[in-house]
Amino acid sequence: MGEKKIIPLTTKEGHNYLIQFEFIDKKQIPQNVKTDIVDVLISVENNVGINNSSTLNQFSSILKKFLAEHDVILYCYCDHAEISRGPGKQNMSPQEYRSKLFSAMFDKQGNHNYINQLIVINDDVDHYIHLISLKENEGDILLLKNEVFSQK
Amino acid sequence: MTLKTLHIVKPSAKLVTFVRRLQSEKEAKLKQLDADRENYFGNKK
Repeated sequence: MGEKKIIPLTTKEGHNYLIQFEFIDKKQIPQNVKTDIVDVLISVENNVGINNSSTLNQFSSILKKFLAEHDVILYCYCDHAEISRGPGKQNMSPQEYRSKLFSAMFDKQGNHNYINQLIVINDDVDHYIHLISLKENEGDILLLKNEVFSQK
Repeated sequence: MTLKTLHIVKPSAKLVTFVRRLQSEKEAKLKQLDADRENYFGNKK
């Protein structure tokens, strides 16, 4: 198990989150990928989603601060557990909804120096994986993407 | 932000096995983190 950093967050609505960053063991990463990879995990009580821009901004700030302090690629597997989502989002699966949230965190003006590689793999229940980092690490993101693609 | 998407529509059995393992690992880690969250915020009350 790699080094971990856990950040607590309580939103103005009183929802409690823990955001965990865990460095993935180098042995599990293809040798030609030089940038460290960090697994991101978010825990919240009662399956509450990120339901407003204020909370989204708080998450975005935490992820960007981590990327500013560590030259890494964030690896975010969107889990399949149920999550509350608005009336217009009911047709999305929980993992697709989480994927939209991860993208929305960086989908703003001024975030042009980040890259967000989404990998969607169809299955009985589809898988959504995000690789997020500064653009300088685009080459390593491409290597990881190709690693997945080679198993296609 | 630059969003790029790779969509694998018909994954191989090998890839499906790989991502299902990722899913399983993630669920186990999340269970642990949920317990950590309950402890952390429970102790703050």
